[in-house]
Amino acid sequence: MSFGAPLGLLALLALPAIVILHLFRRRLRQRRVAGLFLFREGPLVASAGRRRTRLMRSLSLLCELVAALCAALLLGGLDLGAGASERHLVVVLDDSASMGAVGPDGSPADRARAAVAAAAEQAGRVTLVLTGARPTLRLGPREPSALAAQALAGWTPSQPAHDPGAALALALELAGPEDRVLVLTDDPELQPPPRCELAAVGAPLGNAALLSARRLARTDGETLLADVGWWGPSAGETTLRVESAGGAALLARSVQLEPGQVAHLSLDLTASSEDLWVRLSDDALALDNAALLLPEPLRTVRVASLLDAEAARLLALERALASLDGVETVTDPAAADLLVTGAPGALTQGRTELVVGAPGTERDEWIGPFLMDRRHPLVSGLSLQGVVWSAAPGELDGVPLVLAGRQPLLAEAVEGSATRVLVDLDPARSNLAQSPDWPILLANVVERARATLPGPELVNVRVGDLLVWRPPHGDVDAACELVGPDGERQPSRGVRPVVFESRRTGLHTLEREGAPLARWSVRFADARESDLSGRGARSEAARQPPQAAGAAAVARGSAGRVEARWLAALMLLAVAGDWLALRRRGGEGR
Amino acid sequence: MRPELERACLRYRLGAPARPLAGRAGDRIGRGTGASLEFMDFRDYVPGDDLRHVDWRSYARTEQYKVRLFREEVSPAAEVIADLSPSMAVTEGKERALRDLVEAFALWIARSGGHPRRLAAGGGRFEDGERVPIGAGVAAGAATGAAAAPAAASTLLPLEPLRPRSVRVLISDFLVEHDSGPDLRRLASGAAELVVVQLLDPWELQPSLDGPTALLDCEDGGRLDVDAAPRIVASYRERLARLGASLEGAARAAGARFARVTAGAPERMFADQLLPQGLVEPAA
Repeated sequence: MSFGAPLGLLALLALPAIVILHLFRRRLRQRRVAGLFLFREGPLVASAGRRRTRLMRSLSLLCELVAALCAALLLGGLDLGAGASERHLVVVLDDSASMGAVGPDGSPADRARAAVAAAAEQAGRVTLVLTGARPTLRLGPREPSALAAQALAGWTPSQPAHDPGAALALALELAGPEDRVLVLTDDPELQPPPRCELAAVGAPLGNAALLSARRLARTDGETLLADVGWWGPSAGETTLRVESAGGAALLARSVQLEPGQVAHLSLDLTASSEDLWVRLSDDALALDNAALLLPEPLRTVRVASLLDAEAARLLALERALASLDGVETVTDPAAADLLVTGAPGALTQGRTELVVGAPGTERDEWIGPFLMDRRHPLVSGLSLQGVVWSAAPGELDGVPLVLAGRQPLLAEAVEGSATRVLVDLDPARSNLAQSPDWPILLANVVERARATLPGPELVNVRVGDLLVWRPPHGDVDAACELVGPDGERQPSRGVRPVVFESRRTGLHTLEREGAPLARWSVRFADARESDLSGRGARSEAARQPPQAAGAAAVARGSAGRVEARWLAALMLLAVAGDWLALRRRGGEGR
Repeated sequence: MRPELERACLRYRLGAPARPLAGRAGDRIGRGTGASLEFMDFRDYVPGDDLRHVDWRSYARTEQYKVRLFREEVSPAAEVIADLSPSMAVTEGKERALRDLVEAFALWIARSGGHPRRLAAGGGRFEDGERVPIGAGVAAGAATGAAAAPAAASTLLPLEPLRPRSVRVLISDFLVEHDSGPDLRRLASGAAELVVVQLLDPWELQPSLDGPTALLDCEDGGRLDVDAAPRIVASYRERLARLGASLEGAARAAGARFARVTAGAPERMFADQLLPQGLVEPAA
C-alpha cells in the first residue's frame, strides 16, 4: 500500500470531526403525539450550549464516515495494488560535486542516470534519495518508475564532501524487506550496508582546483592570495586568470604542479572596488575552477580610551592598537565601537567595553597556572607563559574565561548586543602588558567588537558556510529575503542577526523590499571533491539480498488493487445513502 | 368482523339505558304506550280507541269503558360516531381499537333491535375511513350546507343530521385544546341516550421519553422539543388527568354515560374497562 499524496491523508481528520459532530449534534428522537398541547408548558430542550450525547450508530453516521474515508484515501492517492504487486527500487545517489566531473566517457552523473533508468525498467516504483549533510528525496517515496528519468533531468551534483550514512539510513527506512536498494556513487571504496547494492560509476581524472582565493587591500593596491591544487596521474599545468566583472582580463599566471601539490599564489593587483573573477583553465570539474571575489567591506573598529594616562602608558595601549588592522582611534566615547576604561560604566547596545583595572588596594600576584576556556575566541592564542598577573581579590561580574585557582582574572558579560570584557589587572604590578599575550588579547577583543558591527561578516564564503548579516543598531525590521543565483527567494526567519546557510555557488543578495542590503559570493572549495584521482568503477551485489516476494503477496497484490474509480463509486454510494437516510428521517418527522 | 372481535362481542351486550327509548316499533321498551304485551295503565275510553283494548271485565263491574294501555315497544335509532381524525391513528393499536369499538357498539345495538349508523365526527364518511383533522369538518360542512347549524359549529358533530331520540355513541380521544362540553351538549340534545367513550393509547396514559424527543403533533404538524425530565411527564399526566376530569364532568352534565378506554385487545377493553364502568353487561 502506498499513498501518492500523503498530505491528502490530512483529510482523515474529517472522520473524528464527523464523529464529534454526531456526538454534539442536537439529535432528537421523533414521536407523533395526539395531545401536543399537554406538553407545551414543559421546559424545552436547550437550543444552545449543546452537550455531548451518546453516539447513535445511525446509517447516516456510517455513510458519512465511509464517504469521508473514501475521499481521504482518494486525496491521499491510495494504491494498494501498486505497493503489493510492483517491485520497489530505492536508489541512493551520491550528490557530491565529483559526480559532475566530465571525462571522455561523460560524467558519473550521466552514468548514474543511465543506471537508474535501467534499474527502473525492472521496478514499478522508484524512490530517489540524494546524499548530503541532510539527505533529500529527489523522487518518491514510491513514485512510478516512469518519473525517474524526468526527476534526474535537472540533477547537478554540487555538494561538498559528506558522509553518505544519513542517506543510506533513510533509504533503508523507505525500503521494505523485499525492495532493492541501489547505491550509485563515484567512490569505489564506499562500503554500503549489507542490504544495498553498490554501483560505483566514477573514473579517475586529472583535475585542478581553486582551493582558496582572497583579496587583501594594500596601501598601494590589492593582493590576491590563491591556493591552486592539482590531482592527476602526472604533473599538470593550469592557468589562473583574473578578470573583472565585465570580463576584462586583468592578469594571467601559468602554474606547473605535481600530483597532489597545492600552490600558494600571491598576485599583486591594482586597487579596485569591482568584483573580480578568478578562473582556472577548463578541466574535468568545472565547479572548482572559478570564484567571484567581492571587495571585502571595511569593518573598521573605532576605539576610544577612558584610561588615565599612566594606565594607558603602562598598558602600551596606543602602540598595541596601532599594530592591529582595521582599527581607528577616536576621542569621542559615544562614537566608539570599543571603549577601553578603568571602571565599568553603563552598557550601550552594539558596543564592547574593555574594563582593565583592579579595584581597591589589596592585590594578589599570580604566576600561574592559569586556567583558560580555550573554546572562547577571547582567549584564543593566549599562553600567559611567564606572566605575573596582579589582581584584586574577589569575583568578577561575568563568565570567567581566565582563572588562577579560584580567582577569576578575565570575564565576559553579554547583554543583548552589548559586551563587557572585565580584566582584573593592576598594570603597575603586572608584566602582562609587556608579554606577547597582551596584543593577542587586545586583538581578540577588537575582533569581538568587530563581530558586532552591522553588515555582513564575510562576503566571500564557501558552500556550506553561513551567510551572516547584522542589521544596524536600532533597526527593528528584520524582514528580508535572500535571493539566490537562480532567483530563488528565501525569507529570513525573524531572528537577529540574519543567518542563512549557503547551499549553491554563485552570487547571493540580501534584499528588503527590493533594496539590496548585502551581497555574498559563494564558491565551491573542497579538496576532497576536487581530487578525482581515486574515483573509479566497481559493482558489488547486496550481501543480504532482498527477500523474494512470496506467492501470497503476489496474489494479494493482484486481487487487492484498489482503483480510484472504485473508491469514488463507494464514496458516491455512501453520499447517496446518507441523503436517503436523512430524507427518510425527515419524512418521519412530517 | 374479525372472529376474535365477534367472540368478544357476543359475551356482552349494551347496558340498559337509563331512560326509556323512542323509535320505530321494535322490541325495546319505549318511553310511551304502545302495542306490547306489557300492561302499563288504564284510562277512560274515548271514541276512536281500539275496541280490542277495552277492558270488558272492568265494564262488567263498573259499567264504565276503560281502555287498557300497554308499554310501547320500539326499535331505537342509534348512531355510532367515531372520531376519525389523525390523532386516532397515532398508533396502530389505537386505530384498531377505534375500529373494534365502533364495530362492537354497532353489533350490540343491532342485537338489541336497533338500527345503528356509523358516522364520522367532524366530517367525512366513516366508510371511507378518511382522516379528517378536527376542525376541517366545520369548513366542509359550511361549504356544503349539509349539516345543521349546530353541527357546522362543532368539531365533533357529524355532518349528517342526527335522528331525534336516537342512541348516540361518541368515540374519541378528546385530546383537543378547546372545551368539548358544548359538543357533548349538542349531541345529547334530542338524543335518547348519549354514550361518550374516551379512547386513549397506552402511551398517552403513561408516556415515556427515552432521551430528548421531538414531539410532532399528528393533527397540525406542530413540533415541540422536550427533555426526558420526569417532571415533564408528571406535568403531562397531571394535565391529562385534569382534561379527563373536565371531560367526564361535561359528559355527566350533558346526561351522558362516560367511559375511558385504553386501546388494547377487544376482550380486555370490554371486560376490564367497559364492563366495570357499566357500559356493557354480560350477555347471559
